[in-house]
Amino acid sequence: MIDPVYLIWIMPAEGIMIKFINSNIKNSSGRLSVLVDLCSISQLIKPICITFFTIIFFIGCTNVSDSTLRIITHDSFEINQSVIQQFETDNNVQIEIQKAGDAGEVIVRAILEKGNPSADLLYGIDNTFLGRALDEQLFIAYKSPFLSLVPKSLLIDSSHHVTPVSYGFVMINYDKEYLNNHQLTLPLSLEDLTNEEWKGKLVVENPSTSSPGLTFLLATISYFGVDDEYDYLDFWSDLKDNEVVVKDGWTAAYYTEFSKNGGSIPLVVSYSTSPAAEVYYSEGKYTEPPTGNLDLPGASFLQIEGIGILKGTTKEKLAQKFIDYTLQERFQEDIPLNMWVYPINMKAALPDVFKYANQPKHQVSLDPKLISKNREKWIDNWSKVILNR
Amino acid sequence: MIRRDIARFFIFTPVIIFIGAFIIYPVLMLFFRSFSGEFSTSNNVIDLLRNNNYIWSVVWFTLWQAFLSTILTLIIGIPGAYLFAKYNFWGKSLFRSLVSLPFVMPTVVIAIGFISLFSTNGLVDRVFSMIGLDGFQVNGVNGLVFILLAHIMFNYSIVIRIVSVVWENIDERLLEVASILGANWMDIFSRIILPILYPAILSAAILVFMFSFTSFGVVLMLGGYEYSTLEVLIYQLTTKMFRLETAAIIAIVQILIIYIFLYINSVLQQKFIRDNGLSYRRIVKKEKLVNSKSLIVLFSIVILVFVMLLPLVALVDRIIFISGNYLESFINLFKFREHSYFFISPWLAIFNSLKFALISSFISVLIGGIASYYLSSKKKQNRINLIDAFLMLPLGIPAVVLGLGFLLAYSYYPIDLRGSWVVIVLAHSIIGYPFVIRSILPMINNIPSNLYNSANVLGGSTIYIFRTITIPLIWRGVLVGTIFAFAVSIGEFGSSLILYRKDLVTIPVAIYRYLGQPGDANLSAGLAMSLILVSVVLISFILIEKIRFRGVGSFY
Repeated sequence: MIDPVYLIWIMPAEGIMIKFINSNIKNSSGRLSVLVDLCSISQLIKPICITFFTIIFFIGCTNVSDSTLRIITHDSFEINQSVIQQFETDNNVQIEIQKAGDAGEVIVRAILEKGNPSADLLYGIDNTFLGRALDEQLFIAYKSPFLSLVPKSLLIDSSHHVTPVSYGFVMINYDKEYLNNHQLTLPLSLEDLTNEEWKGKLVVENPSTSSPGLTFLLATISYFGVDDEYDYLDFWSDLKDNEVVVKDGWTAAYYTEFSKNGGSIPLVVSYSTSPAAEVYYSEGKYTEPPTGNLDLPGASFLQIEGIGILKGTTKEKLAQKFIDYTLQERFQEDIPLNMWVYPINMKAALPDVFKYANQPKHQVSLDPKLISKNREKWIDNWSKVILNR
Repeated sequence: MIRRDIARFFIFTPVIIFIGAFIIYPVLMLFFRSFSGEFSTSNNVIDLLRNNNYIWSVVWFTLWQAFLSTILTLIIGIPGAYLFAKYNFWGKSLFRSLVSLPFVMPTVVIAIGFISLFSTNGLVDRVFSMIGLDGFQVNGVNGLVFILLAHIMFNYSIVIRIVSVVWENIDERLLEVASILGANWMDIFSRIILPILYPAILSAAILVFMFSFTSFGVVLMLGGYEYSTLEVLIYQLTTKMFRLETAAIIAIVQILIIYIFLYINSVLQQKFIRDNGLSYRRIVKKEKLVNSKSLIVLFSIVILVFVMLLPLVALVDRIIFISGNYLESFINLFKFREHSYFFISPWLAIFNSLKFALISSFISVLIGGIASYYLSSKKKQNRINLIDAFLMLPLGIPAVVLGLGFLLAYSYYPIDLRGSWVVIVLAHSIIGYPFVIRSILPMINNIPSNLYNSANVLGGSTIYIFRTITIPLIWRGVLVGTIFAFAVSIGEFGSSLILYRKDLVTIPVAIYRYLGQPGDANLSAGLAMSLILVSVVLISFILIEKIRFRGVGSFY
C-alpha cells in the first residue's frame, strides 16, 4: 500500500501539500477542520433525530382512550363480532381484545404485570393453571348473579375470583378410515394402547409445551394415580416402549402426524368437539365426521375455562358487567361454534353440529390446587420417563 | 483521520441509545425481577448448574448441532454463492428470492409441506405410483436429520447472499494478474479469492451458527421430544412451569456462550481484513451460460431450487387435494369465519405485514448501517471487537427473555407500549439489525483506504466522501441487509409474547389462527394464506433488489 505521503518522491508539489495537511491534523491544531466536520455531521444528525422523535411521537400516541374495556386472552379465543358489538352498544363502551400467546404465556404475563395489568379482564384461565393464578392473587373476587345458571359441579373457584364460562374435554380422536382400512377395532381402555396392536399409532402433545398435552397427562395421573402399583409413570413408560409419538403442540400433532391430515398415525390427543368441527369445516364434504372420539375410562379430562377481573383495573363495575354478559345466553350460545367448547350456562342451546360432539361418559378431573402444587413435578417425572433423563 | 473518528463517535450515539433502551434495559429488568425471590426454587444457583446433568446435556446438544448445521450449510452454500456471483442467467433474482423463502415460512407450514411430500398418499408417493413404481414414503426418519435439513434449508440463503455479494465485487484485475503470473486456479482461489471472502464467510457462518443455536420452532416441531435446545428449555421453564429464576440462569449461560463465539468471530474477521480487493469499478464480464459446462451449472441450480421448493409445491398440491379447487380457497379467505370478532380481510393482513416489515427494516438499516460505519474504524481493534460482538447479541438472547423484558420495561405511563404496534416493529428491528451489520461490514472493511486518502487530499468533506465513495461501494451489502431485515420481520422471527390486537394481525398470525382449529376449511385457509405470504415475499424481495442509490450507477 502506498501512503500518500510517499508521493513526495514522485510528485514533489502535491507531496508537500499532503505532508502539510497531515502534520496539521496530527498536531491537533486542526480544530478548524474538526469544526467544519461537525457542521457537515449535523446534516446527518438531522434525519436521524427526526426519525427518533417520530418514533417517540408514535409511542406517545399509543395510549388507549379511557372508554375502552380491555380483555387479554389466549390465541384460541374466538367470538362473533355481533356479540361483542351488542355489549359495546348496550354499555356505551369500546372493547379491545388482546391475544397474548397460549394459556401459559398469558398467565406468566399476568403474573409479571401484577398490579399494573395491560387489560381489565383475563379470559381463558383453565383448571390446570387456576391454582397458580389464585396463589398469585391476580384477580378481584366477583360473584355474578348469573352463576345460578351454572351446574354446581362446574364451579371451579369457591372464592369466586375466577368465574367459569365454558368447559371442554381433552380426549383421543381416531381416524375412522384408517381403522377400517387396517381392520383395527377400537381399544377399550388406556391399557390397550400399550399393546402390540397399537404400536406407534398414538400421537400426544408434550405436556411441557402444550396445554392439551398437559391435560392428557393429568388425565392419566387421575386414572392411574401417582403411588399405585401401576402408576401413571409405568403407563407412560409402557407407552414409550410402544413407540408413542410426542409432538410439541396440537397444530403439529393434528396437522402433520394425524392420518386424517396426511400423517401416518390414527390416534391423536385432541378435543371431544374435533369430530364435530371436522364436519362443520368440511364445506359440505362430510355429513358424518371422518374422525371419532375414543371414550376410554380415564382418558377424557374435564377442562373448565374461566374469566377473572385483574387487580389494578380502573373499570371494575364494567368488568363485572362483562362477566355477567359472558354467562348469559347471547354470549354462551356463540361459544360452541367459535371456540369448540361447551357453554357453561345450562339454558344455552347447542348448535346442530354438536350432535357429533357428545360429552364423554368417562370423565376425570383433578383438584386445581393439587395440580398447581404438583404440575412441575409431574411434568419433570414425565420428561424423565419419556426422555430417559 | 481524527475528523473521521469524531464523526464516527457522534453518529454512533443513536445506536447506543437504541441498544441501551430496547435491549439492555428490558433484559436487565427481567433478570432482576426473576432473581427477586418471587420465583425462587429450592436449590441455589450453583447447585443447579453443578448437579443438573440435563441442562449440560442440552448445552452440549445445542452446541454441536449448531456447529454441524453451520458447517453443512457452508459446504452447500459456498458453491451456490459462486454460481450466483459469477454467472448471469435468466431469472437470477427470482431464483435468489426463491431460495430465501423457507426463511420466512412458519415452521409448521414447512412441516406440513414435508408431510404432504413424503407421507402415504403424499405428492412423491402419488407420482411414484403414477409412473408405475411401488409407492414411496419416508417414515421413521431420525428427528436429528430433520433438524439439520431444516437448518440448512432455512440458512442456505444467508450464505448465498452474503458471500456472493462480496464475491461478485472482487477486483477481476487481481485474478488476471495472478493468472498471467502463472498461478493455476487452485492458487488463485486459495490465495486471492478465499482471503478476500473470509470476512463474508465468517459473517454468514456466525449468523447461521446463531440461528441454529437459538433454534426454537424447528427443534420443537421437526426434531421431536428427544431434542431440546437451550431456547426451548428456557421457553418451557418460563411459560409452563413459571420457574423464571432457573430460566434466567440458563438464559445467562446461553448469552455468555454466544458472546464468546461472537467475540472469536469478530477477532477472526478483523484478522482477515484486506485493504484492497474490492473493485470500485465492477467489470461486467460475467460468464454467460451457453457452453456445455455452464449447462451443468444451470442444471445444478435448477435442482437446488427445486429441492428447496418441493415442500412449497407440495403445499399447492395439498390445497388442491383438500378443497378440490385452488382458486376457491383464496376467494374463501375473504369470507371464511367472517362473523368472527377476529376476522380480518387478507388485504389488511398483507398491509400490516408489509407495514411492519418496511418500518422495521428501515430502522434496522439505520441502526445497522451506523453501527457498521463505526465498527469499520481501524483503530483500537480490541475495543471494536468487543463492541462488534456485543452488537450482535440480540440474535442470541432468548426470545422469551426479550419479550417479557419489554413487558416489564415499557408498561408504565407515559411509555406504556403494551398492545401497541411499536413493540412489534421494535422487536423485529432488534433481530433485523445484526443482519445489516453482518452484510455491510465485510464490504465496508474491504474498501481500499487509498480511495479515502485521495478523497481527503482532494478536499472532500466527510459527508461528501461518505456519499460518493462509501455508500456506492457498500450499496449491495445494504440491500442484502435490508432483504434480511425485511424477511425477519415478515416471517415474525423470534418475536414471542407480543400482544396482538385484532387490527394488528399479520399474515403469519392469521396462518396460526387458522391452523389452531380442526377441519379441512381451516387447513386450506391456512395453506392459502401461506401461499399469499410466499407471493408477497417474492415480490418484495425482487423489488428491494431493484432499489438504487443516486450515484451508485456511476460505479457499476
